[in-house]
Amino acid sequence: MLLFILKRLLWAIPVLWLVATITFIVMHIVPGGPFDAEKQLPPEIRANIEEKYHLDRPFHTQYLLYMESLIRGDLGPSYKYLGRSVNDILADTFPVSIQLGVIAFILSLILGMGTGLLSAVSKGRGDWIDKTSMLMAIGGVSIPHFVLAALLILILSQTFHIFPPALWEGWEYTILPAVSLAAAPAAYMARVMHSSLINVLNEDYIRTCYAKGLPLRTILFKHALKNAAVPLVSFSGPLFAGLITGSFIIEYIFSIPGMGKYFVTAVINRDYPLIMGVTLLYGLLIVLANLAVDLLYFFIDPRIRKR
Amino acid sequence: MKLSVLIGVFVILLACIVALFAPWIAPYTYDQQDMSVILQPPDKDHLLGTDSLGRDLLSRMIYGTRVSLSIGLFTSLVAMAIGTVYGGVAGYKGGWADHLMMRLVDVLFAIPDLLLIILITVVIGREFWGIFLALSLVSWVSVARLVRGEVLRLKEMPYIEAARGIGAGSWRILLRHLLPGLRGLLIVTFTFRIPAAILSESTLSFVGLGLAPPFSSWGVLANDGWTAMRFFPHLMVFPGIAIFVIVLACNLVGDGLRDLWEPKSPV
Repeated sequence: MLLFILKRLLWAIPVLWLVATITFIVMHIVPGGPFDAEKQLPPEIRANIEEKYHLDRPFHTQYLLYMESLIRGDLGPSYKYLGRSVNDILADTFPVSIQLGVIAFILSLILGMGTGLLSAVSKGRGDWIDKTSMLMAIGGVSIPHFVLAALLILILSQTFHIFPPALWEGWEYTILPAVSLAAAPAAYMARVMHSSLINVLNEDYIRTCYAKGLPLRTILFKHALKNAAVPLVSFSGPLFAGLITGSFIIEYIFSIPGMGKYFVTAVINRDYPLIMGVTLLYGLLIVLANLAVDLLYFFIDPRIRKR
Repeated sequence: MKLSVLIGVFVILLACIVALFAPWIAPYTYDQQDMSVILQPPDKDHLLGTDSLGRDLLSRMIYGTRVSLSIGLFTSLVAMAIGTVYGGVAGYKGGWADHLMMRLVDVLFAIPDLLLIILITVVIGREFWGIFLALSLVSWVSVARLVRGEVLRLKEMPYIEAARGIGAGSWRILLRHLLPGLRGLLIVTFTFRIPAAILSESTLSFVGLGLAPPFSSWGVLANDGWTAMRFFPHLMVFPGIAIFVIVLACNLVGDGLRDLWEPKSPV
């Protein structure tokens, strides 16, 4: 077990190295540089700036310099936010994104599993619950989160003034972004949960449970849920990483000072070190999330443990 | 046939007709400006209102159907083609080739899509072709994973073994035996890729990184409307609804097709 974790963590190093290298190469073969927009810059000043950031060096030297500082854990200075290092910016913005991501993740887990459970159980008993919840689920998968966010702002903050429309200053600011972010994954999970639970409920061992006279609650939560959750687990790993880092649009809409907002502006500004920093963090999270998924399998499915 | 599938098919057909005959259906052209009627809410002259340059929103949305639909359709086609070949070869070859190819897929997975898309569009521009290529080049990865998994499963099947036993070559097995076996998966994946591509394009355009003017996809329109949403909500709401409806229709049809071809698979 420990060996498995260690092996996977070691495997993360070459993956991250490749991610860093590919991103670095792609960024640099794209024409134009970070200081092209400021056309007013006299050539001497421009040369000075480029010298300071080693942009005048040949490509491979730049790469080696970057990798060298990366090994020391230094992500370099930001080109656009003068006087701030990428480490500082990430340290400031990442917690905000984590907060939003975790809230949205928990929300989508509760909503998705709850809806899926409810609809699967009510299939055959109260068909309308099953039908409406699945209709809502397919609607939830189909609505773009920026449209949902805009509608929520329009109705809940501009018409009824219940929640603030933007910024990040307290718990009431988290509701609308978290809901807009969680809707699609929740709907997706509800659909997966629904079909997987229906499959499980048709299995023989569940019939045995009924025959033993167990109450429905025990059958569901003690016997069925664990098996039905297996396909959800493989989805929730990347989802978690995606929710933490991938909320670019939501952060943009709600003016939340998180990593995603910086990432978009960084890409537009060609702020190389900041782009690299965010990408590497994202890659690291994906690798860790996948590891977490595999570990969860260990606990949920004893058959995997044996291998 | 389920009712939901029929509704989905109907909406998609309607959208296709609107896209094909846009110049005849639209009451105005998409760039016709009329400064006397700027930012009008919906009324009988302009059924969905006008924008800040006095352009008719309904006409712009009708022309936008062309852009949104063709982006969805063509990027999905290209993504399917690349993904199927890549995943098929990896799964069929197996061994170190498979290992190497899939590690590359892992790495591509770990790079944010948005970054790749933006960087690609910086190179080839934000015209129709730029966005189209960028979206295709990032979305084949998930197709490749699916196809590889299915090929791995199929190639152990007795009928493939039998084909090999009577001396069929690799190409013949791939094209004549494996590809038909993949048909269900491919069709279903394709139907789900289209709405995903429409969503990606509109999201990209919504942040202002998508199609450059004068193209007006629904995402571009939503982006235009977003800045003035507080006072002129119709500019944001109608394009948003259009995106939602077409994506929903595609998903309904996709669901129906999946039930038809792969009744057992989860969502």
